[in-house]
Amino acid sequence: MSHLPVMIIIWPLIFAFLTPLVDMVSLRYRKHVVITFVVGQLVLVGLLIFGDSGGTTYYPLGGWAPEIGIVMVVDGLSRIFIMLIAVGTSLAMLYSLADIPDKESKYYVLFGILIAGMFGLVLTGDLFNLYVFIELTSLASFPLVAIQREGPAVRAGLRYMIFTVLSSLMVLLSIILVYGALGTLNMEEIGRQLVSIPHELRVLILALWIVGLGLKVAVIPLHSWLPPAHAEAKSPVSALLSGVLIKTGLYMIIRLPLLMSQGKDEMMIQFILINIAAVTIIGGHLLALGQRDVKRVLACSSIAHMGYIVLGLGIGSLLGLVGTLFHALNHMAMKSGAFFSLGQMVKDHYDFDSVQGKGRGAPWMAAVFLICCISLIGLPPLGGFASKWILGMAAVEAGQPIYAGVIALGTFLSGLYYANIFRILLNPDVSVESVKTRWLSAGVVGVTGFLCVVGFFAATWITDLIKIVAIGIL
Amino acid sequence: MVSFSFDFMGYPLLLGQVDGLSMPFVVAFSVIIVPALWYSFAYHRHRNQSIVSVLFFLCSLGTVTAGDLLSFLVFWEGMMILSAILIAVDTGRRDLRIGYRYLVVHVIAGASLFLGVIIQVSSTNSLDLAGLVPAALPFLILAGVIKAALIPFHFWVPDAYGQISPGIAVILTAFTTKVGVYAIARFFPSLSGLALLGATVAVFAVVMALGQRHLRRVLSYHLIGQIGYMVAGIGALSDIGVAAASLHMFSGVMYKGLLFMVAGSVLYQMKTDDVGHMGGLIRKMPLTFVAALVGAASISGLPPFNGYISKTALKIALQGDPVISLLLTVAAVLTAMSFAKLLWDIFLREKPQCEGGEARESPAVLLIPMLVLAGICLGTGIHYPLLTDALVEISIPPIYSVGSLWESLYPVLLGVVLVPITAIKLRHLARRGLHDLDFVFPRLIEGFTQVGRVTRNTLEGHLQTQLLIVTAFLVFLIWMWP
Amino acid sequence: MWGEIVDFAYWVVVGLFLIGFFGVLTDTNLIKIAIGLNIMEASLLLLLVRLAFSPGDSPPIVSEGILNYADPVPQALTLTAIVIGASTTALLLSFIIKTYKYYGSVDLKEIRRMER
Repeated sequence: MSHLPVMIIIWPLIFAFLTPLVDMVSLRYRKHVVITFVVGQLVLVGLLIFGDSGGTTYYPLGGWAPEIGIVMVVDGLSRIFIMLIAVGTSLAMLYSLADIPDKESKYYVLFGILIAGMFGLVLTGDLFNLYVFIELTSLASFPLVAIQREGPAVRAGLRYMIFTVLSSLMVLLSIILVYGALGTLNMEEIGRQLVSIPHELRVLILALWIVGLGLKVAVIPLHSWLPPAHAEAKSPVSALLSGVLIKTGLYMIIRLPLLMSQGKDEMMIQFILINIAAVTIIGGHLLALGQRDVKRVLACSSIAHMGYIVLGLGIGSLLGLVGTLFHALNHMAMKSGAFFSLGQMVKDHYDFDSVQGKGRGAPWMAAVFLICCISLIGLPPLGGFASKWILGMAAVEAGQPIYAGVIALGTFLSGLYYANIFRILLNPDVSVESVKTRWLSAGVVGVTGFLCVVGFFAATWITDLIKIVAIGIL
Repeated sequence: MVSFSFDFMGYPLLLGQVDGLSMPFVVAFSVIIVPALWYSFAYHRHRNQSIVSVLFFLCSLGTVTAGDLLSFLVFWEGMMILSAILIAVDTGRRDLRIGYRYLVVHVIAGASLFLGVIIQVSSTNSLDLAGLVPAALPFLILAGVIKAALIPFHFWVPDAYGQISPGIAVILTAFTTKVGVYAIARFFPSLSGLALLGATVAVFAVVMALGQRHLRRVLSYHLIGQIGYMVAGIGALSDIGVAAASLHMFSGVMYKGLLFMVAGSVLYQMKTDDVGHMGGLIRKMPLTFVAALVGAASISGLPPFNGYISKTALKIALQGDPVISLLLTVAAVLTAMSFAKLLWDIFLREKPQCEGGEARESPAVLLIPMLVLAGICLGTGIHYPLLTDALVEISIPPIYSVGSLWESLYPVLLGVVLVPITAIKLRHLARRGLHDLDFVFPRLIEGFTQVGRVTRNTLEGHLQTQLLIVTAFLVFLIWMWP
Repeated sequence: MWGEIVDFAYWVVVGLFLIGFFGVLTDTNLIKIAIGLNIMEASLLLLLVRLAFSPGDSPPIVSEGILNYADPVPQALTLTAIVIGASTTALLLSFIIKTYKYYGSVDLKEIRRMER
C-alpha cells in the first residue's frame, strides 16, 4: 500500500513548520528549503498522478474501514486538480522567494498550510473531512491577503473572511442535513443515496451547496469579496488565489452538487449553473471594464473566467466538462502569469495613473504579460483560445448556441479592456527607468508564458488526457 | 502544391492547401512582400518590426491557404494580433490609441468569426470550408465585412492607415483587407446584393477620398474603393466574376503598394502629408513622379497597365448589370479625377511658398522597390496572359481592342477634364456631410466603458447589501426549484 | 431520521441562526458582525449535537447491558467544528484589531466615510 496520498498532504505541512525553525538558525537557507520543497512536491505529485494505471485508488487513513474512518480517494478528477494545484503553488512559491522579504517566515507557514489544505480538499473522500480542509485553506488564505499590506488590504481580507465564513456555514449546514438524513459521511455512499432523501430536504441541500460553493468560486451574484481580496494582496498571493484557490471551489462544485445529483435534479442544477455562468461572463467582463486599477481588472477578469469554467459544467456534456477542466488549467497558467509579470513591472500602486508606461521599464515582462493577456482574451495561438473553442463547441453541440454567443461577446469585451491596459502600460509619454528582475522571478514568469503557449500547441494531448478523466467521471 | 495536415483536438488541420481561388492571393502576397519589406527597412524603428512583418506575412499566407476553418481562424487572429502590434509599435510614440482602436475593431471581427466557425463546425461536425450552414453565415459575413472594410465598417482603414508610417502601411495594406476579400470570396460568394454593395463602396470611398487633404487618408479611401471593385466582381455570381476580382486583387495589391510607397517617399522628403503644402516636386523627385504616374494610371485603369487588364475583366464580368456598371464608371471617373488632382497638387503645380525647399530624390532603398513595383504594373499590363492565363485562367475577348480601350479611356478623360470644375464642390460635400464614422467609434468604446462603470457601481456594493443578495439568491434558488 | 427530531431544540436552533444572521445583516459594528457569525455557528453545532441524541440514549461508552448509544460521530464532528470556529473567530478578531489600528474605528460606516 502506497502512502503517497497522505504524503502529499504531509509534505507541505512539514515544510510549513520547518521553515520558521530553519529561519531561527539562519535566513540564508530559505532558498534551499523552498526549492527542496518545490522539487519534492513535484516529484510526489508526479508519482501520484503518473505512478499507477490511472484508476481509482483508496487510502483508508490509519487503516480504518471506510464506513468508520476517513478515506482518501485518488481518482481522475482529483488527479487533474492535484496537477493544477501543484504547478500553480510551485510557481507562486518560487516567485515569492524574490517578492516576499526574507524575514516573513509566517508567509511560508501560511503558504504551506494552504497547500496542504488544498491537496487534502481534493483528495479526501469524507464529507466532514472536506469541510475541515475547506476551513484550513480559508484560514490560511485570509492572512495571506493582508500580509505585508496595510488598511485597505486588511479590510479586503475582512470582507473576504466574512463571506467565506458564511459559505462555510452553508456547507456545514448542508453536511449536517446530509448526515442527519443518511447517517454517513462517505462521499461515494452519499452519492449513491442522495436520491433517497425527501424532495424538500434534497433541494435545500443542493441549493446550499450551489450557493455555498458558488461563494468560493465567486460567480455573480456571489462575487463581491473577490475583487478587493485578489487585488489588494501581494502579486504571488494574487496569483495563487486567482489561479489556484478558486479552482478548489470548482472541484467541490463538480464533486458535490453535480456528481451526486441524478435525474431531474441534475438537469435543474445544470440549468442554474449555465445561467449563472452566462451572467458571470458578461457581468465579470463589464465589471473589469469599469475598473481603474490594473490588478482589480485582472481580479474581475477572474470572475468572468470562472464564468467560462462554470459554463462548461452547465452544458453538462462530455465536451463541456473537458472544456471546463482545460480552461481551469489554462486559466491557472495565464492568470498567474499575468499577476507575476505585472508584479515584476510594477511594485506598488496599480491604479491606472501610477502604472502609466511602466511596461517599458521591463520589456520582457511586458511581453509575457501581453502573451498572458492575449491568452486571457482567448486568441490563438495560445491556450485560452483552445479551451474557449472547446467550450463554444460544447455549447453549440448541446443545442444552446446562445451561450457560444456569450463567449464571443466576452472575447470582445475582454479585448476592450486588455487593449486599454496595454495602452496604459506602454504609454510612451511617461519616462520610466528600467526595472531589474531577478533571474528566479524572470524564470517563473517565463514558465507561465511558456505554459500559455503549451496550452495551445499541446491541446490535443492535454484534452485527450482530460477526456479520459471526464469519461471516468460521467 | 505543398500541403500538410496534423491533428488538433480531434480535428484534422490542413495547411498549405492552394486551389484556384487562393492561388492569386498566394502569388500576390509572395510578390509584394519582397519590395514591401525592402521599402519598410527605411522606416523600421526596431529590427523586431521586420520579424513581426515577416510573421504577419506568413500568417496571411496561412489564412489564404488554410484548408479548414480552424486553422483559418487561427491564422486570421494571428494576423490581427501581429498587425495590431505593428501599428502600436509604429504609432506608439505619437498616439497609442490608434493601435487600440484597430485592435478593438478587429477583435469584434475575430469574435464574430470565432462564433461563426464554432456554429458551423458543431452543426456539421466538420471543418470543411464549403457548405456553410445558414446559422453561421451572419457571423462570418460580419467578420469578412469588417476585415474587408466595407460600409459601414470601413472607418478603421483611414483611422489606422491614415496615420501609420508608410513603410508599415505598405505591408499592412497589402494583406489585411485582401484577406477579408478572400473570406468573402471563399465563404459567401453567392450572397445577393454583394455586387451592389461593392459598387456603392467604390463610389462612396472615392467621394470620401476627394474630400481629404492628407495623402495617406486619400490613399486609404482609395484602398476601400478598390476593395469595392473586388467585392463587386465577386458579386457578379459567375466564375469569371470571381476570377476578375482575383485579378483586380493582384493588380490592386501591386499599384496600391506602389502608391503608398510614393506617399512614403513624398512624406520622407516633405515631413508632412498635407497635400495643400506641396507642389512642384516633379523637378526635385523625377523618379518618384514616374512611379506615381504609373500608380495613378494603373488605379485609373489606363492601358497598358495592370489596372486596365483587371478593370476590363471586371467590366466584362459585370456587363449584364447596368446599375453596377454605371456605378463603377462613376467611381472610375472620380478616381481619375482624384488622382489627376493629386498629381497636379503634389508634382506639377508651381507653388513658390511650398515647404519642400530641401526636398530631393529619395534614396535607393525607397526608390528601388518603387521602380520594381512600377515595372510589375507595366509588365503584367503589357504581357497580360501572365495574369489572365497563368494566374486565374480566365478567357476574355481581346483586351486591347478599340472598344475596351475607349471604355477605359473616356472615364479618365472625363475625370481629368472635370478636375477644376467639380473638385471643389465634392470637397465641400465630403467634408461637411460625410465626416466619417471614425469619429463615432471611439464614442462607442467610451459607451461600453460607461456600461462597465455602471456595472461596477451596482455590483460592488456595501458588505451587507451583498450579504443580503447572497441570502436572497439562496432563497430564490430554493423557491424556484420545481 | 429528520422527522422525529422536530422538537423544541430544533426551534432553538432556527431561532439562534436567525438571530445571528440578523445581527450580521443589520449591524455595522465589525465586532458585532463577528459575534453574529459566532451565534450562527453555535446554532449549527447545537443542531449537530441534537442530531446524535434521541431520548433514552446513554453516552457512547461501551458497557454491559446498554443497547442504545448516542451516535458518537456528530460529537466528534462538533468538537472539530468548535475548534475551527474558535480559530476563525480569533482570526476575525485579529483582523478587526488591525482594522481598528489603521482606521481608528470598528464601525463599517465610519470606515467607509474615511476611505472617501
